[in-house]
Amino acid sequence: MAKKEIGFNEAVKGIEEILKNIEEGEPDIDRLSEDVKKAAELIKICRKRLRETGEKIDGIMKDLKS
Amino acid sequence: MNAGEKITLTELQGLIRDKLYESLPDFFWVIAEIAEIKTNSAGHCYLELTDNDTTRGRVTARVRATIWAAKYRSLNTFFNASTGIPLRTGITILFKATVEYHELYGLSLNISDIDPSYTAGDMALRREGIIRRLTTDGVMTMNRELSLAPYPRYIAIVSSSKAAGYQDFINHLTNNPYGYVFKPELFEAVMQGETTERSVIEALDRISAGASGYDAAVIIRGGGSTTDLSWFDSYDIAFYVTQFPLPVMTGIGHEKDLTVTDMVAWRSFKTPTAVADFLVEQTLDCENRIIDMASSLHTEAAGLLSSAEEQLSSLQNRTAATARLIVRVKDEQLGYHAETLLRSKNNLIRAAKERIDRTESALHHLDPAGVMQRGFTLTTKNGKIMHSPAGLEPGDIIVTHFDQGHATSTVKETSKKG
Repeated sequence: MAKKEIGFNEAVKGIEEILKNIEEGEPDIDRLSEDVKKAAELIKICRKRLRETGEKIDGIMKDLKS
Repeated sequence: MNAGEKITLTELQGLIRDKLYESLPDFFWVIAEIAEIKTNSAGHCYLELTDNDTTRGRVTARVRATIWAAKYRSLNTFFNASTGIPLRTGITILFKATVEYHELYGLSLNISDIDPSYTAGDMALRREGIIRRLTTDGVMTMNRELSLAPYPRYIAIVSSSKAAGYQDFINHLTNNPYGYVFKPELFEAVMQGETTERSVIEALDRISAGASGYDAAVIIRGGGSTTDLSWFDSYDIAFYVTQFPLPVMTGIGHEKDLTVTDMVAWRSFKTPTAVADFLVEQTLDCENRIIDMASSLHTEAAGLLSSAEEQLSSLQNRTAATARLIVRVKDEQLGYHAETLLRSKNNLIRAAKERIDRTESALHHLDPAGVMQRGFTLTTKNGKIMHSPAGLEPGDIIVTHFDQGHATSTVKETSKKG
């Protein structure tokens, strides 16, 4: 099933929530690796989005200059 | 001359002429407006002079006048040099004239001198009047308040295809060094003479009808110090320009003073080429602004991206550090628990050992062998332990058990405690 891609801001919010949870909440070792894995996935998504956006912008600007 | 006497028309005209010449001074200084002016092939100038009641718009006097060729050449040159305009229709002049009467042509004035300063003053007054009227109407700055398209491409031109300035304008516009493409369109008009006003307004009218197809209108014509610009000191042209839906630029070749049309224009220039150069520069500015904006856009976007990357890195570091910290804390907790556990195990074992030791020693005390070692004995009768003398009779055989052996005795008597 095609899942709707998570937005950048939504992803960052997700990372922050996880972080807040493990920083301030009662840490749960059973969930910790799961949480960190989730955060890492979100970070990966954000990175990918940033890289794509950067490439797109560079492409657009290059287009303008030609 | 007696009543009833008959004379010829020639005699009558001669009579009138003689009477006129007798009774009138040699010359007059007269103020009149030129209603018509033309020169013939010999260079003689023929005029129609009028007096006008401007409030009623009515001609109140009219006369023919002549300036002979030799006079006309010098007068016109001087007049043009002094006022900036040639002798032409529509202007008011102060002139020195002799009244002439000809049998065939009737009355006319022969002009021998003209005072240009009067016309200059009159024109200045008229011009001031126009400016005052436009100011009172509140329209002087109306065209200037319009905004020019950033890239003015479609240019409606009011000019004459024969005007020198028109070709200059087109050349400067089309051969600009940046290769910008403009779409000029000529709306032919008469740019000097008495039909100027009507012709220019008609051209503006045609542009106005399709105004949405143009970015600006320009009124241009070739210049030169001797050309007559005063046709553009026209209330009607100026008013039309103020009401025009497009910015109107003028380049009508003036050296010194602005015409009223220049004054109400969106912007006025000295020459048609200056108008063309402005349009090219305007476009260059526009392109530069776009380039600047594009570069700011790129910088902004790159900045946003890098700050997002930083935020992400910080989140990543925090997540990793926190997770590692939690693991370490938990590990330490675990170690502590293990130690506590170990400590308490040892304690328990020791305590249990001690208890066992105590019990052992207590048990040791209870062991009959131990008791006998300390000197206690055990008495049995027929192998049965006797706890009291109650089961014994004199003569019974009893065995006394010691730690190191036993002795057999016979009971002599028994007694009980108490």
